[in-house]
Amino acid sequence: MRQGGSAWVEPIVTLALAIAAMAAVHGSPYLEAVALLTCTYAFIALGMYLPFIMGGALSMAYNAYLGVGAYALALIAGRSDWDLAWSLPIGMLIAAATAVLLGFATRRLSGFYLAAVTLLFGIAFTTWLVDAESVTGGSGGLQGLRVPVFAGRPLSNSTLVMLTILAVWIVALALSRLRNSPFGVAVRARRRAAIAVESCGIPVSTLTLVSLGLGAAVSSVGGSLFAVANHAILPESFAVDLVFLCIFMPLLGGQDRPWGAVLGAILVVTFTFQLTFFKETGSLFFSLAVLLVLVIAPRGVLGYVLIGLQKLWKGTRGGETRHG
Amino acid sequence: MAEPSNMAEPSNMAEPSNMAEPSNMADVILECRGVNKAYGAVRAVNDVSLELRAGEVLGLVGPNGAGKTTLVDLIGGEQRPDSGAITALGRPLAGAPSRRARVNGLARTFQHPQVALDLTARENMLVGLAGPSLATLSGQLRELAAGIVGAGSRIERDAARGEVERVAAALGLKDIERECRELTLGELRLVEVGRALLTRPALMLLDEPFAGSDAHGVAGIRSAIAEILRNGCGVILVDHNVDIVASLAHRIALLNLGAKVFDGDPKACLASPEMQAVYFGEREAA
Repeated sequence: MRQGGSAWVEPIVTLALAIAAMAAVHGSPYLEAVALLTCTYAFIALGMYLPFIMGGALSMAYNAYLGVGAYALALIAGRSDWDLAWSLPIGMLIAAATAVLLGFATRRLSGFYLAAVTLLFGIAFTTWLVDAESVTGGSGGLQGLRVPVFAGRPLSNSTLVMLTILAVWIVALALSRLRNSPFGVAVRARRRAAIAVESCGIPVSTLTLVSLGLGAAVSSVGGSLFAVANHAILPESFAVDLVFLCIFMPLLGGQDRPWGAVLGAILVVTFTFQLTFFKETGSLFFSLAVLLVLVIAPRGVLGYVLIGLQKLWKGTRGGETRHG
Repeated sequence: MAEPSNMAEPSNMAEPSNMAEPSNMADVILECRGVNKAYGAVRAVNDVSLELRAGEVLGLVGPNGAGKTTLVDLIGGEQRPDSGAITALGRPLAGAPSRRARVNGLARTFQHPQVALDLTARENMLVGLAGPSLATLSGQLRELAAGIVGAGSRIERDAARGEVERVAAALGLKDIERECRELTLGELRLVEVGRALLTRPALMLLDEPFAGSDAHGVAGIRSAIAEILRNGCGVILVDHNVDIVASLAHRIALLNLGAKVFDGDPKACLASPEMQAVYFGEREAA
């Protein structure tokens, strides 16, 4: 539920950080490419946040949802005269429908069995991308995608980066609002006390399907973004190892808020692609970092930063009171 | 839900003498007829028939393994009876999933509190308030959209009017912004009762609500029962503490080895040879 005046702090602070990020990468093609990659990961992690972190439904087919978004854009770009903007809602709808169908088929499964079946679906999807050559271009993928048009002009890379960071901010803020709404509270309660949620008249299976659908739609935006940024897509870009990387982003960044998923994406890209002294072992370092966080700081980096800030705030207020 | 001014404070413990007498037989809100449930060779519920009227507290007592919780699970829809009929407010319930039971006006608490420990007490109770709005796919999509754009939904308007706080106050539950992992077992039971109350039930199933509760928790649950009765609802109260059940119930059904062996006035039940036989054995009863 919203908490009066403090409800404005979160959007203002995070918007300021988003604008700072835009300013930091602006003008550097390399940093802009890193920012686009980070945002792609952030969309996948945000897509996982509602069903997995909030609702406890672990689907491992997010590589397929990402691929749906990317191929929707690539097919519209390569085989139609439609505006590329259409690829976003179309990709989101197809990804959501896929997730709902898969969720419905696996509705009686949970835990390991749900993860295993959805993982198999993810693997089958990448195999299908290679096999269905007439649609997907096969192992060679789809190349030379046309550049989207924005405000009547071809979309420059800098503008794309700005719009993408803004989109990540909007999605994370929307999920943050949703988390505290009655719908979000019911989804979170479902994770630990599904029988109680059901006894209140809320169909838990429907709640899970809606969450999975929304999560898949959010992840597909990352796929569309990936295709726009690279002007080409290959099936191997949507392999299942991507999912394992993304599962841990919210855990590393912090589970209490969707912003933790964004922070996790930043940390993953930094560890695996940016730090030169971890060049060969970035993934290993990331795995160790996740293990350490889960053992000693299960609230994630952001969770402990916020706890520290709260203590600092209370200390300041306490000091004022004592002096007053 | 009654207005706050009508809600009893926990300290105003509702004694049976203060409780209104249940209405006449025409107001039967729950009826079980010949209900059976077996697990292999064990007959957990054996041909049980009972009914509950509006404004009535029916105590369900019996030793361990008597079939009390199984019967509550059958009524609540968590389990399916092998045979027999259960109707709530005139609608058949047997075999219905638990949320169907809720749609038919039933709310319940559980023998082992089913509460999300990482949520606050307020959030857990809010699930009860949200139940009717999130009962359908269209309702969930509406609430999803309202949650994303930050528009106030019906649930949020109710919450903003302090519905959750009013129920918590009536139960004597303090500081509901605490995470449930910080609450005592008695407080967790109050959270469950509050969540069930917020669904605006016609019938409440309370499964061992006094187990693990301190005097404060017992007082809160007594207040909750009084509140439910004021709204003309019925209560099925299951507990091992026969004295507390007898002090609150208008009628007691005694179960033993899955079968109902007594159904009647609480004082008569306590003094009955069936009660003596069930709890102290045939020799003492003789």
